[in-house]
Amino acid sequence: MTTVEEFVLPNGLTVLVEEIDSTPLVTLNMLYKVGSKHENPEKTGFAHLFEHFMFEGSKNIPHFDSTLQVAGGDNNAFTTVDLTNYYETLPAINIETALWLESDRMLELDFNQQSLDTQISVVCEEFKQNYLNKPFGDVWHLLMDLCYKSHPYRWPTIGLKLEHVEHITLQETKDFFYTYYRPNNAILSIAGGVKSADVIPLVEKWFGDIPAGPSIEQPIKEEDKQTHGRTKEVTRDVPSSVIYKAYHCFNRTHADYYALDVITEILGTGDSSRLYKYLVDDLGLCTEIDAYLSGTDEHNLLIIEAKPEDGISLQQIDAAIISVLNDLQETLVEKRELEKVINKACNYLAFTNESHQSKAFNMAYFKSINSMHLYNNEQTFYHAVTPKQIKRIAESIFTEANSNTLYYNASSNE
Amino acid sequence: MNRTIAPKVQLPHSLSLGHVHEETLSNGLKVYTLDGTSQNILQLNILMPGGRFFEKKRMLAGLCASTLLKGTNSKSAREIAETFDFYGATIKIQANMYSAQVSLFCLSDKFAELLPLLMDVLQNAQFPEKEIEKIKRKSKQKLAVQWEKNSYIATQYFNRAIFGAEHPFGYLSDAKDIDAINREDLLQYYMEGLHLNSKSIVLAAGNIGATIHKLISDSFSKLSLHSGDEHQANIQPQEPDFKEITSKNALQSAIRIGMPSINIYHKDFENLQILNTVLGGYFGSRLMSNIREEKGYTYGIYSFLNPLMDTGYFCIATEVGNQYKNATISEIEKEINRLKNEEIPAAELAMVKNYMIGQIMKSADGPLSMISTLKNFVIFGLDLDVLNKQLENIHAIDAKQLQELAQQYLNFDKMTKIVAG
Repeated sequence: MTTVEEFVLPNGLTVLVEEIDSTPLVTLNMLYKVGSKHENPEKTGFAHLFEHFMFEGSKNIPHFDSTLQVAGGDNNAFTTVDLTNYYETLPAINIETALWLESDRMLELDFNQQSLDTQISVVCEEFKQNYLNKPFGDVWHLLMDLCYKSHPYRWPTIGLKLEHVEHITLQETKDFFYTYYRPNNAILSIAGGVKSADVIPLVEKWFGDIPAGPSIEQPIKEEDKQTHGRTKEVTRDVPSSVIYKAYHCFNRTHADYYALDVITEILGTGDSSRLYKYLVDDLGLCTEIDAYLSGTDEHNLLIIEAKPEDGISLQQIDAAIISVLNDLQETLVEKRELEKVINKACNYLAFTNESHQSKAFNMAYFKSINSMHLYNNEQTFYHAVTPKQIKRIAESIFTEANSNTLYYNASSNE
Repeated sequence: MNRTIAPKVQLPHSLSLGHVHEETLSNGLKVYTLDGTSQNILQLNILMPGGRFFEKKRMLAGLCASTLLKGTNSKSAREIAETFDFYGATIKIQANMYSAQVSLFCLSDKFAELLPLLMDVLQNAQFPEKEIEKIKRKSKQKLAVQWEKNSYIATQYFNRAIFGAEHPFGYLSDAKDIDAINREDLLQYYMEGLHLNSKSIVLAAGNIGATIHKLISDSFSKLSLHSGDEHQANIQPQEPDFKEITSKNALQSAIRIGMPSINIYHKDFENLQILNTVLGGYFGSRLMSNIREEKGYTYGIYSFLNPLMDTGYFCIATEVGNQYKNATISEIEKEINRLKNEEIPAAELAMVKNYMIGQIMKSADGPLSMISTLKNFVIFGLDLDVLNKQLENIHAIDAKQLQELAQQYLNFDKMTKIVAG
């Protein structure tokens, strides 16, 4: 059994270290507890643009990437609705280079108008490449807008529109940095071929003198409980239609979360899932169908998406999906089906835990939702799920009043 | 503390690669095993010399891979899916360029339960008509979506320009070709291209131990193998092409620029990989620094050398804002010529070398990474020693040699240029 060393520096930086002696590499993961849900509704896409800006050089190190590459490392980053995450993987012996780099860009960035302009342009190209210039690219914008009315999850991380990103100013990036990118709003985790005794003094050396920032007491706008079913219908120039159904669930830390994940798997992961068997195999209504969770910290959505066979309407599919959901409300899941889903979850967890890079992120992530008890221990929670619990959750979630349906029609089909 | 001084760095001159156990079974099948994951897991890869290269009808390799799990003479598609799912396993069938590949990911202690089904699928697949029709419709729907993407359109036309319209790597994917495939075609391809034969290779990594090792040897050695097919696709040298394709998604243009190049066995191949890395092979490359980080024309630009057996090709790929199309092409030309006209500065070369060494360490990090790396080598008859050879090359090469390689192998005027947008 592995152990995680955990401590907090006086400036508020949370530090987690796990020694994994089977690898000559190490991953340093830095999680900042800021995502698109913290954005001003008039300035969406900010957190993600800022992630790009973090690679534009810091106070003492002009080139982040090339400096890391000299140490044999590579890196990446991503922004979600809840958080922004950065990681570097490099030979363990060179861990200090990664600490030096991450600490310097937490200390102070090189706030430079030209770099900002370039990254705004890069992000606008990303926006076009993935959301505007691609079939089905606007699905997420439509669906989030339908599902959330006041919570900031109503816009995707890339931003509501290009114009928001285009108008971001240098002063705004400074304000953002000194609010959210302070040590007291971050979690540093290290997993790989290092010894805690060696690495902890280095963490103190490089991060110890970075000043803390203000404590962040920004309430996120709550989402009222949905009381009426919602539908939206659009027509686009795409080769095939698609239907999305989304149901509001609960927070990631809710006691029923693992049962919710089990429900999702029962419904729609793989060719032996219920939705696949009924809608694809038995009725021949769709070519593809999937169910998944949005995976957010708060107000998770259970989402079902399906593509119809030729000549089948989205309404026919909708009705068939509802009948599958009703069945979960009426009949207890059999032991064998539950066992199958738990086996799948354990398989996934075991492969994830083989990678020190995944471990570094998972540690930081569970810490960010104050749930370190889940780290390396999620199997236990899957094993505890019961058929009665599944029925109870299905009854409360799968109601007409809690449903959001997007009919995305192909114009060529009309 | 002075924050402007970089901590010292060290990089290895050789790698300890772990112990790969290599064995030839009584029927001639080669088996590689790597023990020692920390988790109780197993990854099994079966490589068969199939893939697009061996197709006798277009789109056949891909369609056969998609229908392989849809029934055997004793089990239905649903029973097969139920069983793999029940034990929590993931199974994937892929048709690559030169190989068909079956991959199983499972918990080690479930392997014994899964093996009989796996062997059944490998030997007794039936391709039921009803399932074929379903997969054909799904494949056509997916293909229609692909043809809406500029990047897909550009890649299709680029491959056609490099290999020729009749070559299995060069033809344009067409829904009509999917329609033309019938059950007999699938059965024939299954017997010839997606069936264990004397050239197939089995690779396993994970928490294996003696029991699993024996299970693998015993079950695979019982099989009678077909003789390997000597099919050769006909390659016609192509003239460089320039083509602009107008699509309806016109906010961005996808660009593909490249030319035929040396194959994986050529003495210069590893060194040309180093040159490619400098140009566009990693995030800090010259193309990325110039066209993304300085100019902001794109979200990303990469170049790569595709290692093939009898030929190879070099390609630069990007998607740019429409207004930057011509500027991007002229910057690409500048960067190629800069490699030919100037030696790479010492600091940049040192950085690229160190970065590549780190990447090699990553590709050998633990049994799962190692087997995934080995898998890509054994297709070409190579083994993990290639990694140490790569390390040696990286340490040895200098700027002058790289400049000569650029002069010899990169010629912008002779490159095919495809723009879709």
